[in-house]
Order: sequence, then structure tokens, then C-alpha cells
Amino acid sequence: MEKRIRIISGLVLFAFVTMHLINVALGLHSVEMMDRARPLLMGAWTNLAGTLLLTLSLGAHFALGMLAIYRRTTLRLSPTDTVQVIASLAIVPLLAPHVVGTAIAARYGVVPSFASLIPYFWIDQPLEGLRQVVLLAVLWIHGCIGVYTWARIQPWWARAGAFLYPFAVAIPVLGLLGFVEAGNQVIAEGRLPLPPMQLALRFEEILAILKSINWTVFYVYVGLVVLVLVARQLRVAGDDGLVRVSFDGGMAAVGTQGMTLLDIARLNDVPMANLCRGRGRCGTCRVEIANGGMLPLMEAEEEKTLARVGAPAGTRLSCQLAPPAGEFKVRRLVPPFLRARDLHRFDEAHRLSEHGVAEAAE
Amino acid sequence: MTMVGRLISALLLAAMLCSAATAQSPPLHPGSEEAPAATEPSPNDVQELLRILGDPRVVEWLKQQLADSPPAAEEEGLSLRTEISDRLAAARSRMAELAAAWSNFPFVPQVLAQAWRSELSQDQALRSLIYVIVFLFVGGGFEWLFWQYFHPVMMRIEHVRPASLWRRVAGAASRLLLQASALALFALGSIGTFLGFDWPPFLERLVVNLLLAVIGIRALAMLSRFIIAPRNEHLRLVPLTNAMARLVHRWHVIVAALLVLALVASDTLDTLAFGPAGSPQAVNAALAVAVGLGALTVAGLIAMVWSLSRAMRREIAVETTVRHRFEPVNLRTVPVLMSVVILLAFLLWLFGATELMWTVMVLGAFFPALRVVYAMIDHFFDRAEESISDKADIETKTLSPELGTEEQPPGAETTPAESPAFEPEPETERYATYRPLVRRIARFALAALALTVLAAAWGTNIAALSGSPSVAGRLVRVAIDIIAAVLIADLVWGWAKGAIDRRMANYVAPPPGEPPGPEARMATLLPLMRNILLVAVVALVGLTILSSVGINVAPLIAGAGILGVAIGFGAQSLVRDIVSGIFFLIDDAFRVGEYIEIGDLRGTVESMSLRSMRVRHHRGAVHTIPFGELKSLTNYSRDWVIMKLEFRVPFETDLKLVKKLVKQVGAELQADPNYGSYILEPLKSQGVRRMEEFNMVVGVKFMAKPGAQWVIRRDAYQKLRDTFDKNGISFAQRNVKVEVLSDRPLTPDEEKAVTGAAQAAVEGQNAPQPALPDEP
Repeated sequence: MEKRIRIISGLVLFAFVTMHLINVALGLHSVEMMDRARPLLMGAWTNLAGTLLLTLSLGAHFALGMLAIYRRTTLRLSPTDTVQVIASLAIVPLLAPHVVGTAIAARYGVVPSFASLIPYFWIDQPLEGLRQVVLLAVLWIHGCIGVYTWARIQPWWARAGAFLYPFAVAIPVLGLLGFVEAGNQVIAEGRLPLPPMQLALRFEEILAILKSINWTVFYVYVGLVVLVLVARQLRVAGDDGLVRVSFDGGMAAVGTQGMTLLDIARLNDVPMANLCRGRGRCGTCRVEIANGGMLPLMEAEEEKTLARVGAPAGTRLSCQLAPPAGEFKVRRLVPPFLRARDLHRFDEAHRLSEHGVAEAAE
Repeated sequence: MTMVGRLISALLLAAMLCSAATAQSPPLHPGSEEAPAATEPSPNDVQELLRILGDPRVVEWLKQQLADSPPAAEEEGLSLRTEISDRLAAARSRMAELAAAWSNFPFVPQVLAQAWRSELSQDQALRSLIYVIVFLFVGGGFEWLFWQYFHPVMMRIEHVRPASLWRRVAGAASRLLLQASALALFALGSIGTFLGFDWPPFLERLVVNLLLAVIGIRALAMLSRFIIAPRNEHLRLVPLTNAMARLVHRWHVIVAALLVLALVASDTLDTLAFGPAGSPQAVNAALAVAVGLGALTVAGLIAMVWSLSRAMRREIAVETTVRHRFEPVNLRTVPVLMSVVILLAFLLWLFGATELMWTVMVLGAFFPALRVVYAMIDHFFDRAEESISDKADIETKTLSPELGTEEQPPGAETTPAESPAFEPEPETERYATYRPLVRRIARFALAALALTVLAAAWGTNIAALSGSPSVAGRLVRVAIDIIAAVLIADLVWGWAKGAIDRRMANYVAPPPGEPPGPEARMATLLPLMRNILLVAVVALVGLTILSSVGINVAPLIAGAGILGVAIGFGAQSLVRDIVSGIFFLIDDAFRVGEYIEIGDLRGTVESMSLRSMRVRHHRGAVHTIPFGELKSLTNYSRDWVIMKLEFRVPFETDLKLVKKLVKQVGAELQADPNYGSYILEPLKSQGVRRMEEFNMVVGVKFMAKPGAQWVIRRDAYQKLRDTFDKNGISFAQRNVKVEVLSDRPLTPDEEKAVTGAAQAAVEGQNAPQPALPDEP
């Protein structure tokens, strides 16, 4: 359930960002074009249902992200996860002023439009423009990693993946170029007439309110992150027993109690397939443990994934299993460098052979 | 090791100093104008000229022109003296510039900030940062897309352990190719799209410079990764441990970043200073900043040299396996030397002596670079040989468990262990033969590179034969020509000598008594060819050197040609000797070690020179025979010989028994361990060859390999005599039956007379027989 909420909320947010970027990309034509296309592309999100969905998704995704950080067994992450976590942490402070400046400013009668925002970002406050560009890069990288990690173990990815890659580059690139071109137009030709607005307060007062909201959001956010990190530290504080694992192929690894088997393998440079990056979705990190008696019991998610890939009894997912202190003999059941496109063929063949073995035994 | 570091750092420094220097020094080539082809003037023109010259104003103007024109223009080239004084003047003005820059140093930030503000407002600066991020993202996106499609290829390259030398090279090269393509896409995506828009000139320069800085640092890091491969031991081209490789790579990236940033910063400031917002103060400030950044880069380089050499020393103290590669290098003096070279080059750059700076740098970097390249090649070949033996090990391992399950007799276990040990040998041998060749080629390439850099630095064009403007330039050009000629000659000679020596080393002289095989011919021809080649190479190099020094070699060649013809006529027989000698060798008429007969001379061929051969008679006399004298030649050492023997037996001898006994002796001879294998056809009886007055002549013959027949003949006779003796067959002895037709017994006198008459009769029959060929 948690996994499903995470990916659905993430996909909703990703879809929103995509459409927004397509809208910005129209800046390659002109700023008027951007504003003209806005109701078409963004209309679905600005009505009540869309706003509600977005807010819910953002909240759920944020909460799940914090939970994931809290649950991390080690902070020495793989390169991809490092990028992913740092990007996710950077998103809120980068995004907050933009959301506040458009969604909340609308409450005071400020009508957000590209005609007003593009000069704001390029002429009035170039620093804010810089923030937008950095935000886009960070957001898009975070989104792409997340979607890719989920999508590549789906059966349809082998066929569709190669065609989706160009879009992953084209959309942000065109968005950025649209932003740059629109800025150049505004700098060269001057501002465009703004739509009529009825401001509830004076403009400076509105700006001051928005600024205070921004800072509040920022402090709350930083406090929350620190809280989560401290809580995590308290959670893992007592775990200092050593876990010694000897893998097949003569490789040995040492980790501390509380770390997952996958993390132990990764930190000791033992290659192990993990196509979903330790989210327990793909089942490629499944292992057979020789002395598995004193291991913690499986949770429902792990059991479900193992059943789906048709793993025999006694198999565990190393990304979900945090072994207690002690020594273990582990055999990896999936070739470490399995490619995503071969995953389903491999699983199929594996199920067949298991089946055949079972029949022969009878 | 550190040498790699130093090589690369030297190159980096070179690149930096070069571009900085070329930006400030004017080109050295003066344009030379061709005079229009002169035609015969008409009488009218001459009249006109005389009239013009008669005009006093014109005369006055001409005089003034003469006084105004610079003295240097009178000569074609510059004399050494003016050149030196020019250089001194340039150095002096450079020092003045530096002094001005130094005195303005405290105001540098102020001046530059002012110029910067007048060219670029703060908003614009922020915007240019936005542009940089946007276009870096665009380039990064392109590169990411590239990797999405080529990542599996990369994984395969990095994770598959190369099985052979070729695979190893191909792996490293294709990794470089992939990374370079990715970087090219990145550059295209960032700079390409940036230039797709219109920008104000200074902003464009600034952003392009910043993007170029990113690309430059990445390119240098990629190059370092290609050589050092800090993460992939089996793609590494240098003998470094993992920790050392990571350290070296980190230093390379640091120095590369320093260098590129220094370059970009000075270029940007130069643009600023010489642009519309510039001023003399700004120019001075830019110079000061450039010098400061250059000093910073040099400091980084020297820090790298010292840090790496210290790490190396520590490593060597621990690990002994790496040591032998660099043992001759004294790790304590090398960093000092390197630092001195770097500092010297920096000082020379500071004073504007670009050519000298380049010379110092090229010379300083050449020998360490050569060592590095040698170490790389050796490392490469070592690893290739290792992987072969590894493969053999794996084969053994995979074979032995199978044996265990099949339960073979214990004796059979030795075979699989031996067979892989024999298999890799030809491959290792192949590597061993290629190693010196590759080293030589690498040295050649490196020297060629160094020469090209030097030539470029001195502004000479090696390809064109036109004279360089300055004396020093000419000297350098001559030196470069000579070194290039010697290098090429060395490459050719080294290759040929290596090939010939290798074949000669493979040739094993046959044991005495055995005829030499066909490879003996090469053993005679190859030293000959080597000598000819040496003479040719030396002559050609000599001529090239003479011609590059400026001596016209055409008369020399022509003279040599005429002399050649004259000597050719005079030494006709010498030429005939040489040519016919070559043809005799090609015909394979004789080889060293063979027994030959020429006219009435015979003996074993001992040696051959260009003109003659030496034949040693079996009694020790040595004949020297010029090849030209050879009309026909008999070779006794080819393939087989037939030896015929005969002996006499009385008429009452049982011939069947003789035949049987001969056959028996033949079998005995063939069973002899010493020469049995040389007998091609065994001894057999040919029956009675002829009847004589008192006995029968029985012939026997055998066929043997050349040279062995004499021993066999000796033993055959001996064994035949013994066997016949045992079987009651005696050899016929010459006797004279004297029939005395009287009944009375002879008196002693008469008996003596009869005996004397019989003696005479016997001797009369003993006609001299034709001599058999002498035995050596």
C-alpha cells in the first residue's frame, strides 16, 4: 500500500511538472503563446479537484519520503540514492517561493501569468530566476530517477523504455530553452501588458506577507528534517553488533546490525542485482541463507514479492532483511548484473525450472 | 606512477603557457612577397625613368625614404646580433610590463571590478549564471541520453576481464571512445545550443568560457581516467596499485581544474581589458591576475609532484613488485629536478621567452615521459602474459575435477597438468618478440611528438623547406631535421636488426656430422643483408644530415655516381663476385657446413663473405674462392650418398653364404646406435661383380646420409672380415702357381730364380687402380 501511494503520488506530481514544462517550452515561440496555452495545459490542475489532488499527492509523497529517511539503515548511500535523497531534500526550499508566489498570491488577487512572471524572473529578480532553473533541474532529476526505478521492472518497459528516454531529455531541455528565449524576448522587447488585477492589499504588503510565509515554511521544513534525522539516529543508536556475511564466490562482507543485507553487500563491493534499488518491488536481490533460523520474520510485502517471482521457501529479499549480529552464509539467486530488460525473461525461465523440479520430485 | 603525473602535468602546463604566450606574442612569420616577373623595359620607359630621376624633389624624397627605413629591412634574414638584441629588448619591455602590473597590484580588484561593472551589471552576471546552468543541464541531458543507450556496452567493457593484449587495448580504447563521444555530445548540447541564440559579445564570451572550462576539465579528467583507470584495474595502462591510482587521478583532476580555470579567467579578463571597457590599468591588472593564476597552477603542479613522489616512496618501501620497473630512477632527486624544470619554464614564460620555455619543457618532460611509456608498455605485456598463464591455470582447474569423477588411473593425472603449460608458450614468445619493437615505436612516436612541439614553438615548418627567418630558428630546424633523420634511421635499423637477430638466434647449427638444413642458407644470407642495410642506412642518414646542414649533396651524389661507374668498371670482377655470390645463395647451391668440390678443390664450407667463400680441406688447408670463379660446383652433402665396396674371395667360396652373411652384417650396422639412423638403405650384396684370374670380386653397397658413409664403410669392412673369418671364408690372397716341368727337385738357386720370376709376374699384374675420392 505504501509503495503504491508513493508511486501514484509521484506520478501525479511528475505529470503536473511535465505539463507545466511543456507550457514553459512554448516560450520558444513567444510569451503570449505561453499564456494562451496555459488554460489548456494547466487548466486541469488549477480547478478545485486538481488542486486537491496535487496537494494530497505532495503531502503524501513528502511524508513517505521523510518516513523512508527515518527507516534508512545506513546513510552511506549508493550514488543514485544519494542524488535522489539530496534532490528531494532540496526541492522544498527551492519550490516553496514559487508555489507561495503563485498559488497563495492568487488569494490576494494577484493573477499569475507568464507575462508577469517572466519579467519578474529575468529583470526584477534574476536570483529568483536562478532558483527556478535550479529547481527545475533538481525536480526533474528526482522525478526521473523515481519513475525510472519503478518503470524499469515493469513488463512493458522492455518495449517502451528506449522510446521514452528521449522525452525525459527533451521536455526539460525544451522547457529551459523556452524559459531562456522568453527571458531574452522580454529583455529585448520590454514587458507585456499585464491582465487586470484587483489586489486585496498593496503590492508591497503582499510581497512582505509572501516573504514571511516563505521563511516560515523554510524554518518548519528544516526543523522537520533535523527532527527526522535525529529520530533516525536514536533508532539505530544501539545497533553496533557486527554482521559477517560470506557470499557465494568466496566474497566476504562485514556490516553492523540493523543494516540490510543489500547495504552490507553494496558497502563491501559485493555485486548484487537490485533493479528497484532496495524498495522490495523487483525481487532481484533475493538470496538463500544457509543458517536462516534466527532471522527476523518476513513482512507481508516481502512475502508477496517473493511469491510473485516464484521463489522457493527459505528465500529472502536482501533489501528487506536486516540480519541480527552473527555470521551468515548467503547465496545470491539472481546474476548480479542482470539487466532490466532481461528481468522478466529470467523470472519466467526461473519459474518454469522451479516448476519442472517440483514435478520431477513428485 | 608519478612519472605519468609529471608527464601529464608538464603537458598541461605546456598547454597553458602556450596559449597564454601565443595570445601575447605576435606571429614570427613575416609575409614574403614575390617580386613580379621582370620584362625587358622599352626605350621610352628608360627615358621616362631618367627624367624622373633627374627631378631633385624625387631625389630628395628617395634619400629621406632611405633614412627612414629600418636597418633590418636591408638584409634578407636577421643577423644573430640583432636577433639577440631584439629578444633582450622584448624581455626588457616585458619586465617593464610586469613591474607596472606589480605596482598596480593593490588596485587590481578595484580596477577589474570597475571594468566588470561597466561591461556587465549584477543582474546580467546573475543571468549569465542562469545561462550557464541551463546550458550545462541541456548538455548533461544529451549526455544522459547517450548513456541510456550505451551504458550496457560500457558495463561489458568494464566488467569483462580482457583475455588478451589486444582485448585489453581495445577495451581501454573503446571506453575512451565512448566517454569522448559522451563528452562531445555534452559540448554540443551546451555550447551548441547556447550559440544558437543571439547574445551580447562579452556575455557570450563569458558564458562560452565558463562552459568551455567545464568541458576542458572533464576532457582532461577523462584522459587521466583513460590512462590511470582508478576504478578498473584491468583497464589500467600503468603499473599502479588501486590506492596510488586514485591518488594520481585526484591530483590530475585538481591540477587540470586549476589550469583550466586559470586559462579561462585570464582569457575573460583579457577580453575585458582589451574590450571597450578596458584601460591601461585594466590591462595591467589582467596581466597581474594571469601571472598570479599561473603561479598558482605551477604551485599546484609542484605540490602534485612532491605529494606523488612521497606516496611512491612509501609504496615502494612496502611493495617490492613494483620496484623493478622504476628502480634506476632516484625518487629523491626526480621531484627536485621536476620542480626546477617547472619553475624554470614558468620564469621563462614570465619573461616572454616562449621558445626557450618550450625547449626546457619538452626536454624536461621527454625523459620522464619515455620512462612512463616504457613502464606502460612493460606493464601491458606483463599483464597480457599473466592473463595467458591465468587462462592456463583455469584450464587446469576445470580439467582436474573431471578427472576425479571419471576415476582414471593415477598415471593419467599428469597429462592435463602438462599440456596447458606447453600451450601458452608460443603466445608468450610472440609477446616477447613484439615487446622491444613496440618500445622502439613508442620512443619514436614520443620523440616525433617532442620534435613537432619544438618545431611549432620555434615557428619553423618542418614540412616546408623555406628558410626560417631567424638564426636560432634555423639552428633549431637543422637540429630537428638531424634528430628526425636519426630517429627514422634508428627505427628502421632497430626493426631490421631485431628481425634478423631473432631469426639468427632461432637458427641452431647442426651437430657435426649432420648435414645442415635449409635454414642454414638464411644463416649465411642474413648477416650479409644486415651489413648491406647498415651501410645503406648510415649513408642515407649521412646524406640527409649534410643536406639539412645546408651542404648541397647533389654534387656529392653525382660524384658518387660517377665514382661508382668508374669503380664499377675497375672492379668488374669484384662486382661479379658479389652478384654471382648472391645468386649462388639464392640457388641454394651450397650452405655453410657442406662438403663441396670446385674444380680440384674440395672441403667444407666454413664461411661466406660478400665476395668470397672459405672452404676448408679435410686436412686443414683453407681455400678462399671468389664467387665469380665458380663455374660449376659439386656438393657432396645433399640428401644421400651411395657407397660401393668390393672384396675378393677365392673361386670355391659359397656365394649364397656370402650373401647371407652380408645381409646379417647390414642388419648389425643398422642396429648400431651411433650411425644406424644415418643408413638409408642397408648393406647388401650385389653378387659377383667380375671374375679375375685367381679370385672373384664381390660387390656390396649401401646408401647413407652424406657425411656418415666413411664411418659406416670402416665398420662394414671390419664386421665383414670378422664374420667371414668365423664362417670359414677367407679372402683371396694373390698367389702365383709355378709349374715346374721337371721331376728333379730344384736347387736353392733355381728356387730363388723361380720365386723372383713369379714376383715379377705378380707385380706386373698389379696395375695402379683408379683412386677413390679421398675421405675427409
